[in-house]
Amino acid sequence: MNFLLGILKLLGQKVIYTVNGLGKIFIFFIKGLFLFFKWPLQLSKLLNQVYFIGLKSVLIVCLTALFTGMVLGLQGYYTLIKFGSEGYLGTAVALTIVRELGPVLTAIMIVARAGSAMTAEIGIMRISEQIDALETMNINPLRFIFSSRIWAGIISFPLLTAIFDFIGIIGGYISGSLLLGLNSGIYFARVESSITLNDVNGGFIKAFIFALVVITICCYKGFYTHLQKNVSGSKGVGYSTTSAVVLSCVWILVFDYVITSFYFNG
Amino acid sequence: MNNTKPEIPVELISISKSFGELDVLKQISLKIEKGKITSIIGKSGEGKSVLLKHIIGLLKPDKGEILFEGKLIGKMSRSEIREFRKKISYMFQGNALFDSMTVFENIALPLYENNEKKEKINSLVSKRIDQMELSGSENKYPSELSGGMQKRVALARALVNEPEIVLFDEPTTGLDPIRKNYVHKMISDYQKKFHFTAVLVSHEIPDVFEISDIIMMLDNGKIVFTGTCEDIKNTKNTYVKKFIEGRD
Repeated sequence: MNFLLGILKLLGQKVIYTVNGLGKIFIFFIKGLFLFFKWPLQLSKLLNQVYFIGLKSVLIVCLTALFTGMVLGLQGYYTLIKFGSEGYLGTAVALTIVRELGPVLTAIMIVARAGSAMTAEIGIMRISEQIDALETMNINPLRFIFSSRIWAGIISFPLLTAIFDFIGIIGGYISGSLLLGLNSGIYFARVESSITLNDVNGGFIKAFIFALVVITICCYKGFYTHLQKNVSGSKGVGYSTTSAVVLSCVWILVFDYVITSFYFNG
Repeated sequence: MNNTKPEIPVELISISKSFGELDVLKQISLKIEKGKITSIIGKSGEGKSVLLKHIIGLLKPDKGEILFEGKLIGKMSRSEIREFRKKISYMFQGNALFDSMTVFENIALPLYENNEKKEKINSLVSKRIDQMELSGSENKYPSELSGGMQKRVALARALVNEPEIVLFDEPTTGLDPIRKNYVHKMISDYQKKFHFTAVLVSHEIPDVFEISDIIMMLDNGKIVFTGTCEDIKNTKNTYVKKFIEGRD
């Protein structure tokens, strides 16, 4: 009996801890989101962050998109040719990229490039007392650190996803048409006829949700680096960064499933 | 004889603070006199920085009250807190300069974020840069400066808002004896120049006595001595005497 109570107690503690954590992260997100509109608007900071999260990620997103599209073109071609349906390669590549791989891989690449850097930067600010210094200077640290980043994410993620979609489809064309000889007219005709506005919107909704999830997790983990158990200092920053990247990737996949099941259920 | 009662901008009443099972501050009460340099001395890890962080509101006491100009900090409205923060500033032990910002941006930050006009920001920051002898370093990053220069930037940032109270957390840690004396002199000179109230946490004994008006000693979570520089030099309290002489 005592053993069972012990397990229940442990389970209860875990549930309370998790709910508490989720509540804290949600308050952090809501406050940061709306503090951006407090005067004076942080427009130059927003532009800087769009440059850092968005523009500086263009190259890595293009490379990932190109090779993802090319692999899809190859795999799709060799699979479809078995059924004599290689003409549908454009449909397969475009739908896979626009609905799924575009938003998911773009988000994961941003986590790897910008999200990890963000957590490390904010974590170092925390351990070197820069965040405390903000408070003593009458500056809201949440607004200073998080607000411009979350809005920059909201702007950058869908734009990068659109770039990924475009380059990915071109990648499929390079391997399917240029290398394997599929008629390019058929490829692009299938791309055009298969993608609907609904698919594109679905991809953008995912990108928008991923932006909120990724930027919130990465900033939150850096901001509360000092509250981690059993680790502190530079080790704590490393731990926060790892934890932010892993958590962001996991939540991207979880939200991807949830959005897909609700949005693309027709 | 001057019988005027000293003005007390900051008063701590029975402050207690624990971290887990460790009691750091035990019912501490103290008063900070206006326009004077009050130094808090004591062994490492006795809670001197914790005490300072309570005064500026970075930490909240488990028990007790902190009064600023007679008002309870814990019961201040948002606008009162903003006013309080405008009047007080803090110089961190490790300077806490923003490493991605230049010297100019670091000093200008409190003004910029509080929506001051560009002309006012430029004039105030340039004035502080001149006073701290930092001319020519405006566009450098903190990592490009020496330890002493970083301290001056931190001091310039702490003074740019023309605060009434400045809290210094071990401002000479990690500096060589010449630079230590330089920073002490700098604090003393600027205090005389700007007439702010200073609270200084320091290990530098007896150097810190030279610039202090009032000395307090924190030990085992309690204030065990309060007096002037002369008082501490002539104290009969053997514990305090041993500490300032560096004996066990």
